[in-house]
Amino acid sequence: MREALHALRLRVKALLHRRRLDRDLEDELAFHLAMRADSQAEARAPFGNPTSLKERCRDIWTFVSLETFWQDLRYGARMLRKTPAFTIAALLTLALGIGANTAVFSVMNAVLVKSLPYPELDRLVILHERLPRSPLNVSWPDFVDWREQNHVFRQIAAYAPDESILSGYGDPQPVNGTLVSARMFPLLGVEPAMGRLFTDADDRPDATPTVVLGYSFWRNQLHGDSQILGRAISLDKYPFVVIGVLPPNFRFVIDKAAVFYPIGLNSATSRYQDRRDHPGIEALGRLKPGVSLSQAAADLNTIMARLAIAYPQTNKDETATVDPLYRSLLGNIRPMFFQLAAAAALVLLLACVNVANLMLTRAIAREPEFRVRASLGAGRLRMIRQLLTESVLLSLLGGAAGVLLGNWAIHGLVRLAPPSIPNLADTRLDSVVLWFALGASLVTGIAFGLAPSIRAGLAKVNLGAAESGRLVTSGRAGGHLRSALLIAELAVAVVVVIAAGLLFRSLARTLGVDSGFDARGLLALDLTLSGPQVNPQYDTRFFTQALEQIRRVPGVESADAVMCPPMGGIGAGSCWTSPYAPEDRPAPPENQRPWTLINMVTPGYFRTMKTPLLQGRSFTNLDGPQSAQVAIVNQALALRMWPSGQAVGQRIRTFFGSREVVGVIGGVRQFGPRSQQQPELFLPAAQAPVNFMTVVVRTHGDPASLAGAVTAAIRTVDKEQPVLHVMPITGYFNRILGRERFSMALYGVFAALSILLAAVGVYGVSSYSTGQMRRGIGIRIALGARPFEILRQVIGRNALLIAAGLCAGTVTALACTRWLASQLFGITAHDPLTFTLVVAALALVALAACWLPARRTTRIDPATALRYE
Amino acid sequence: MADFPKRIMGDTTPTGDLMQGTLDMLVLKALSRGRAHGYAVAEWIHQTSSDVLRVEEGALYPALHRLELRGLLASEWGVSDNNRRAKYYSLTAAGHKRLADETEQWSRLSGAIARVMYA
Repeated sequence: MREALHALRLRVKALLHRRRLDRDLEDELAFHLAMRADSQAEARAPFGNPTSLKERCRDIWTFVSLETFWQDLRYGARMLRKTPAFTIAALLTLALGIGANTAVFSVMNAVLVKSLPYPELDRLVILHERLPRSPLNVSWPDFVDWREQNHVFRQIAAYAPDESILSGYGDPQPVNGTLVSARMFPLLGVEPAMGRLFTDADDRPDATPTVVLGYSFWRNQLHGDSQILGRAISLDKYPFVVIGVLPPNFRFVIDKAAVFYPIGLNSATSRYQDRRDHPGIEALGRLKPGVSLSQAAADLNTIMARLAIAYPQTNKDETATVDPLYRSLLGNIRPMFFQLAAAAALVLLLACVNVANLMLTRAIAREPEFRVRASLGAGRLRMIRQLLTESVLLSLLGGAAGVLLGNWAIHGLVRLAPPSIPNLADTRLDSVVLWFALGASLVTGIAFGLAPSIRAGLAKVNLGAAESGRLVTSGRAGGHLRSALLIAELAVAVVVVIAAGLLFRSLARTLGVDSGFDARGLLALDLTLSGPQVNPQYDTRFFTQALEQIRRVPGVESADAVMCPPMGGIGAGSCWTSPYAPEDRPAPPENQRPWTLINMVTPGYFRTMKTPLLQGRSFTNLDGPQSAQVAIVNQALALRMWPSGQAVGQRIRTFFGSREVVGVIGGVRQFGPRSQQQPELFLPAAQAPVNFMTVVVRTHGDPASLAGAVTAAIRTVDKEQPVLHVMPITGYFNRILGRERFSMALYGVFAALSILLAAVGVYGVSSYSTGQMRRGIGIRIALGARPFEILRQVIGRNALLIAAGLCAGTVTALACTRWLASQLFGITAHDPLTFTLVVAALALVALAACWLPARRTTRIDPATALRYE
Repeated sequence: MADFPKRIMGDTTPTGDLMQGTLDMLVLKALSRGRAHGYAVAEWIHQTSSDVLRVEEGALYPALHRLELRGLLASEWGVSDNNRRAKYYSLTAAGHKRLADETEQWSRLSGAIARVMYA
């Protein structure tokens, strides 16, 4: 050890005094030679090569491998500078490949790794209730029973989203609130950044209302007010005392949760105490050490069995399920991202192949250089090392450019970010991502550097074989490598483009589905009425007046409101459900009846949406609270209730009493184009008022341009009520198809890159091979060959390679696209049209790339070509 | 034939480990008599071995530098008898200790070989 340190010190000293080292070595040997000369030792033995001896001594004193590396690096940099066209082409290709991978990796890092930052994540589970045929939200009393009676959870906690309105800080603004039970934060393992978190004393109906703030809400909406603890903020016009602020890196299990209140404040309300008709909560648990998922489920189901006996009216047939939190929140997102990562990796592979090809071409140009080095005694490994140093230098530069490109791409991805992918907006270029980019660059550099290195080895073997012109290798071994690269390149491109094509067709299919209404020209906005004055009469009056005001806005054709808009809308508003039964015949007991969606609409809603009325009539202003209770059914419900007969005039019983069916409307896909049509029962809003509705406005022309005027019209009724989520209703499609669009956009970019890289690759190979054939072609032209024959010869071989590549790609795609099947709608993973179009398009592109350089050969002047070499 | 001096070869052959070690030992021994320059080391070994061992420069200088780097030798520049600038090597404390170790090992080994050969 001490010896090693001593040696290191001396070496560093020698490094710092490099010139002195040289001079000393020189002097020492000169002295020796002089002494030899004096003593006539010369006769006895030759001295050998003094320069070589000097270098060997010198090597002892220096960091040989490091110095060689430095030398190689400088040499490599010089070579890159000398051939700017090559360097720029290679760097751009690498930057695209590495940039795409960096962007995808950073998104995956944000979504799959950083979105659930909880200790021992694998011990966290999400609990649901379940009827034989459908999952249910948990009811509060059931949750309380689980909490008190289970033996399997270290902790169990509940949450429920609850949007509210913050006032007192500028205009009233919506806040994404979440009700949590006091144990939620300890369960997730989070400590407050300021103040304290909830205790059991806060989590009671009679407690002073308190609130814990998310960090970004505290910083942005409350301007980072450090005096906020102990003060009250007004949420839904009630004062809540701020007791704590969460740390900046904390993320709740649902995105954008900005403030938290104790769920216990609500727990005494009749809706919370109802085991059947309840607002629904979500329950999380942390498993005790050693408890498995199935043990936990068995324990909960023992409790559920007891509850079913104790409360047969509400709990019969209900069971409980336990799922890992991770799988529940990210389970179906993970495969999507792994597929995206695979596609990005394929793009990088293409980039690698292209650069390998470029390097190969350049290695041939540098053949004389390597021959000289080999003949001066450079070892094969030494030359491969030189080549690898150059390619790694290139890939690191490309990687750096790729990171810049990736960073730019991340901004684009974040802007595209659909809300259904958690934490996507938090994508950052952090150290993990940078390490990834570095690793990817190194691997890339070695991968594409190996191709010419293999050749450099071969070149040495053939040193004696060719002293002028071309080496033998450039014709044979290099040619085979090149052909293999070309085939691989096209195959990879086919796979990526087919994947993109399938997703594109699937999305087009989805958008082509008849959603049951005409989305063009529709503006939508959400109103959630709050404040002490809110009651059912106020709700009805407010919505009636607001709609009247909106209809007066120039450019507005009609305006109506619905509780649960198509595709679930944007806000917290959800569709209600109820068991149903016909009045005219005996029905099973309530807990065995089928369920239907329940929705409230204003009278002109179906006309405004252009949803066809199939039978009977629409609601009118006469369907008021005092008049006969009526309902409209959709086709799906009508067919289930009265498969053969007339629905209009029949009566149906739900949670909302017994009602006469007055009309049947066409199918609306309530949960988006990919969902099935579900039975749905519509009630007149006047007969079942609610305080949250989505207003839909049919406009002439561009709906977005009327957003301001419509908002102003609503403010004239009550300026305190906030108008939320104003957007053309087509925005709902973006929301519900956001994930598909997001992945489609990425695949689109990858496909474009693949086509571009493949075309460049084919072009490169083709120009190289035509260059090689120049002389032969010159001779043939001189002998009278016609241009067409020349072209056929030049393109022929490459066309075969292209065909092989396309076939290989098609076969690979056939095997791989089934991984995409779950994302596809309306087409199979082997959609023949997509496959045919993609292969045909790529064949065209490849042939064009092949033809461009080949075309030039027909104009070769034989005399020039023959003199060329 | 037997009159040809044995040559102590360079350091690059893998089988040269024994020779390498031997050369190091001889160099240390040569310097145990006091400081000397490379040429003197070679000459002393040559003459002391009655012209049997001849140290090649190609092996001597790398060996000297390696030993210096390992801290067994120290070096300084001085002026030789004939007024030339020369690099003088001398043993460090570690060098003396190493020489003692090697001498002991050598005598054990050569004694053992001798007993075998003359048995």
